[in-house]
Amino acid sequence: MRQARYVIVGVIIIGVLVALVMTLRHLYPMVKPAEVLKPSVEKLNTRSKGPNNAPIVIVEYSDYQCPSCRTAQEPLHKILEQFPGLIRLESKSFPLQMHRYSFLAALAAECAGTFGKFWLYHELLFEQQSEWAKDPDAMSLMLAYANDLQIPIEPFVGCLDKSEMGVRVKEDKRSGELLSVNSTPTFFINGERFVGAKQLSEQGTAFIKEKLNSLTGK
Amino acid sequence: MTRALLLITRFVTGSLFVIAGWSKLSRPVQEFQYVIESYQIFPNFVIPVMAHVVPWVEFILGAFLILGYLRRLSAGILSVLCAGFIGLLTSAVVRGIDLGNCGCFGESIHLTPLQALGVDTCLLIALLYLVMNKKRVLDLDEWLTQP
Repeated sequence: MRQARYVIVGVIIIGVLVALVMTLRHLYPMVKPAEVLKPSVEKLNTRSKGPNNAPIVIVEYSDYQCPSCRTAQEPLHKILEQFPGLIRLESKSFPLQMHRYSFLAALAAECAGTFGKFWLYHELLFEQQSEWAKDPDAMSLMLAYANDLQIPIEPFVGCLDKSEMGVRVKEDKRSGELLSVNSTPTFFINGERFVGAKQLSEQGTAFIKEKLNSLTGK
Repeated sequence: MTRALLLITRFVTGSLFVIAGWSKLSRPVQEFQYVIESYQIFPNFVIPVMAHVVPWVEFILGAFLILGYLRRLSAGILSVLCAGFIGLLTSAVVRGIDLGNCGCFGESIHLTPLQALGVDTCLLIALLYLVMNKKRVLDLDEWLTQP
């Protein structure tokens, strides 16, 4: 009798707790990626590459100073090579407060974009991360990278001072926050979330294959 | 005095586990999965299962502690979990893995691995106290064992 009472009470408590979690999740739902990512996908700004009508859209939220984001570049490139012409990649900045220069780096990449060199600058920032991230004068290195890419320095410096560029970076971050992005890098592949290089290379690749198979009816 | 201490210990440890569980349950599961991955210790197939199960275990057993339902058993299971966390954190510190945030409380409380080790050790002591103490104070167990 006592045992039955224990079991019944236990089942009731667990039921109430599960219902509570479900209700709270229902009352405060996480924003659906499509709601936030759609407008920028349509805008097709300078920070995207790949066909506009690609069946797979990868949105990457990254912080240029974060070592994990640098690590994730390799699997990301592999995926792009594995599915040529089938993926559109969109980069979004998510500078974390703990990284001193990540906002500046995001700003510089944004400005490089106005000269049509966003992706080159983006790659360079990750390649040289260990150099500029530890340098007390990161700004000089940012300018040197721009110079290496033959970006005219004066307009580049002028661009860095424009508040409009800062607003763009902040907009990116805000969109990530709306999507409950917390760690970098976070990827949304056709709206499905993958956090970090491991999830991207393993589950992300499998997800893309599955999506492409379902599109081709295999 | 012992009764008050028992009650406070139960409420504080239970509440901490409820908060830890909820802070993970309220966020995308991939976030916690990423935290587990960053410890670089578990095989791939276990990680998604852990990411789904651990927050529920923390949340439900934390609530059991608050309510005083199967108090000693709940505290026993949570102490095993807590000892596991301590082992994980120690191994991360020893291997020099840069975790930044331990991920113990999701995004609600940021703790470095060393801070988390301190908190988990205190929690383990409190849980062992709850396991060993047979007294019952305002708990459901008291009511359920009445004839």
